[in-house]
Amino acid sequence: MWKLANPTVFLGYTGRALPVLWASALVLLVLSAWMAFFVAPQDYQQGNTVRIMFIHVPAAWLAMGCYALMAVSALGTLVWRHPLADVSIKAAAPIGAVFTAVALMTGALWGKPMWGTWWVWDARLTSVLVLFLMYLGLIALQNAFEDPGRAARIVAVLVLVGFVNIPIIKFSVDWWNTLHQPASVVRFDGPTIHPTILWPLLTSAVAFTVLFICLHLTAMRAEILRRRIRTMTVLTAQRAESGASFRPEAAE
Amino acid sequence: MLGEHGGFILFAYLATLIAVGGMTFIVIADYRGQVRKLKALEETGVTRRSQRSAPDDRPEWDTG
Repeated sequence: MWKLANPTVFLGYTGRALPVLWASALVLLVLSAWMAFFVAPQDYQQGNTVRIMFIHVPAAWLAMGCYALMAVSALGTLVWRHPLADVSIKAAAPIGAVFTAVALMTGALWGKPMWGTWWVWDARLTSVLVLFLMYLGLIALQNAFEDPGRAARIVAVLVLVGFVNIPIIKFSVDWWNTLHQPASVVRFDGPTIHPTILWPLLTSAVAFTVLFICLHLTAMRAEILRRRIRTMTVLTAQRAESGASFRPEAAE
Repeated sequence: MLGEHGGFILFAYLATLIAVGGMTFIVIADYRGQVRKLKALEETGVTRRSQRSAPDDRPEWDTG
């Protein structure tokens, strides 16, 4: 792990892993789409609308998982000062926001035919909306500071404070009355979904997760390069300002 | 094939495809853009600290 703290080493490892990961993500996404439409049967109560579950549930899991990853990265920033931790948070936030938006959107599209309404202000839906707003707030905060180092610590603290929302999302269906169904996969007594629907769901979850890993690693690589460019530009400008005429070979 | 609620199902998948596909496009385009910028900068002769023997005057937020 600490070996990966060196961004150059990280770029080397991820550069070799990403082509395989992207190919795996593509294959798994095609497989999960095929299973969702041609393998999974209709639900005895919900009919074909159960097929929305194969995108809604993985997106919701990733919305929370992404925030959990950001919380671990925030600890990495504040406690261990891991050089890639802040990069991880910055890269993850927009991806988490999109998966949260997908969960909200597909939830509404599933809710209308099944509940008779697009939206209710119950604990599960509202806490996920809060998660989405937190992602947007973190993205805005990251972009509000010119000094990424200063932004990193403030953002990390806010990420850790906001983590309290994750268990609220998870247990909201147990703690309060809601239209949303209770947990049916991640339960102490095992899944309550029939295997013919559970396996397509798990395949879809794996596909979305591999895609998330690809997106996160690629976004981290982009952020590392962005910071290198910024540093090189700043140092070049500083040298030019200091009076000495800048000669590119002087930087060698 | 998808019954009376087929429109909801197809729209859910289409919206997900647009959102996730759009994000994938943006992430990859951003990465490629940064690679291009870095290459252009290096072609002007500017190099990174690790490629020089100069003292470390790099700002602390630079993870490169």
